[in-house]
Amino acid sequence: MKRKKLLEKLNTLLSASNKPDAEQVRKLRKVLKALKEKQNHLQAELAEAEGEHERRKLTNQIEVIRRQREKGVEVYKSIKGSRQ
Amino acid sequence: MLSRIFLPTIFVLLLYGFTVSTNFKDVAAGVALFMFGMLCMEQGFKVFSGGTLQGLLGASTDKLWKSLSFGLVSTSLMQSSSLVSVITISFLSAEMIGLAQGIGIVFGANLGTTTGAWIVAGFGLKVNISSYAMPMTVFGVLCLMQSSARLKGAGWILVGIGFLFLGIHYMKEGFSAYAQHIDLTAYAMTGIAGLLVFTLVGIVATVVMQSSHATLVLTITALAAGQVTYENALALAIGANVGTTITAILGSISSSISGKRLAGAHLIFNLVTGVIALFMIKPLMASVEAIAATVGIGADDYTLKLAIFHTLFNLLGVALMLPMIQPMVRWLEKHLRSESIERDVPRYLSAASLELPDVASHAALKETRHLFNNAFNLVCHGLDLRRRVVQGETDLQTLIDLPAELIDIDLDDQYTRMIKDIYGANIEFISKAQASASAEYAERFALLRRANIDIVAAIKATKHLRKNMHRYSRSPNPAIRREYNRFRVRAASVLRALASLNDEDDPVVTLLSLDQIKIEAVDAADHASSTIDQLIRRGEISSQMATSLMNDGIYVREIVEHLLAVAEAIIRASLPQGELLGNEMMLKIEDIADIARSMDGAAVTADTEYER
Repeated sequence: MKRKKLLEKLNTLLSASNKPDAEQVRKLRKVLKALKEKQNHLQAELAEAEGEHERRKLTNQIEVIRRQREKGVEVYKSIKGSRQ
Repeated sequence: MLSRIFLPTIFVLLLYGFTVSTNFKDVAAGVALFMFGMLCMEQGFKVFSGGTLQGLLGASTDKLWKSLSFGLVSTSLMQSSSLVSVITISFLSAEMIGLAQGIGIVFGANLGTTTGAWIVAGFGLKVNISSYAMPMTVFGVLCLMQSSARLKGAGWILVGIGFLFLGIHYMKEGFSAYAQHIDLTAYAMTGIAGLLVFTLVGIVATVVMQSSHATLVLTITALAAGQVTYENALALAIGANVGTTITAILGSISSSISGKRLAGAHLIFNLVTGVIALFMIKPLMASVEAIAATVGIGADDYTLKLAIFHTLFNLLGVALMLPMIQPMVRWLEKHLRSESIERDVPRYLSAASLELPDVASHAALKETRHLFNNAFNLVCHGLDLRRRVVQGETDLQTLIDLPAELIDIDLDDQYTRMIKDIYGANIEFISKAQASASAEYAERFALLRRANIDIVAAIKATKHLRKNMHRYSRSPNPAIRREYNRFRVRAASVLRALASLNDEDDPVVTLLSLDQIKIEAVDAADHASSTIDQLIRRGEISSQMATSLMNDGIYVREIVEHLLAVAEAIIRASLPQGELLGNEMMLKIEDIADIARSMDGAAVTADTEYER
């Protein structure tokens, strides 16, 4: 455990220049996870929905989240790309 | 509850009074006309508020001596302090002048009224204002029929003054029967008892005749005829001065709280002046003798000596009460408060927090949320919806077919109570904070400023929508009723969605949630415009209804857009400095339009309706 902590500290020291990016990636992961949870929740609702309108509304809501996640992934790729 | 019992009781008592006494009918009609006149004048002055008249009034009452002179000159010209007082009350109710300025005018009016005694005693003249009532009403109605707003305003004022005069005339007529019984000679008394009793008689006579001028004329005539002693005549003049406040009190019944405060100030001034005059009657009489001797008035010319006395004790009252104006304003503002108007005030702003930009931006954010919360209620009620319905589980689509249930609120009054003070304070606070804050906070303050402006714009759009919505959302025509109810549902859906945004979510996730609300709003707007075309083609609504629907559709769109703009600005202002993730992940306008198209009205139509 001690060694793991020491390695983490060393990693932080060495990657000082990448810190803003790392922070952004951490934040992005958090947002993407929250969106994924929302999407799963909506998909479960869609499976139980009966009315045509309700289904269409839920499908669209899922579509919105899908597109937002897609954009998030693009941001992630561009951060990775700029690191390399 | 109380008004439910009180109002029918008043109706019954009035009906009983009308059947048993013709005089009572005249008096009651006089009071009603008088109050209606007040309302007309207020309506008229509102047209001019912010314009020339307000500028003129402001310039002629901005200093104490000016407001005193204004009261003095106008009362001398009109020969009625009561009329000047009630006009001042309507100025005050229309927020064209402040309370201190109003009190200055009333003090001046008290001095002006003393010129009446001089005119009557000196020249035997009397300006009969009530004879102007009919021509004023005729000219007023003619002006009302014109299209110009200014002429209409002037018309309301003329009609108002006409009705005021007419009201006073009817009251006098009605009371004439009682006035005949006031025989001054029958009550001649001396000493302190005489003073007190005749002061009371003066009060009662003025209340009955609705004119201190009339009481003074009676007193001077009686004094000249030797029907009343000089001392008793002085007491009558004091009583007339106190009794004249009844007109202002009557006028203030239908006015705002500031009007009531002015009537209170008038009563306090005249009561205090009356009491001082009673206590200082001997020195005052001695001064009158000295002045009379100096200016060459005969020792037995009691009528002119009465005029001197009247002027002297009013001058004394003004001199003593002038330094008391500001304390009186504070006292009246503290003790005379409207029960219905309890204004919500800012909770989080303080001068100290302006020192630190981070604290200031937090305070401004919290206060803007507070304002938004109040606006939420106002918009809900403006849509004839309870907040609990909007935020609850009720399927909003079920409201589309039913006639809307009316929520009886005055949006202007609610705006004054719940929004105005906080909005003003927020804008002032943000402007000050922006001036001293560094560039990194500039955007946050600009966002919050924008949010505040959008909040007020959403309320204004609700107010405009409400006009036709009231009529059509209860219309027997199901087509128009459905579309107006759909407007309500459209705005309510956005309110519900905004209320359900979870504060505990990451602010970026909350910001992204707005995309969904925007899509449903666009879908609803598209559906509304296509529906109007269909309804016109099918002949289900008249062309007038169609244009109302189109115009009001714009207000609904404004409500929705402003609400969304507020929410977005608030969320963005709560994001950490330099956070751009939200911008990168939010959908572009074309994505929103694209998804909205595929919804095909699902946001504002129920399944059952779709099948129809």
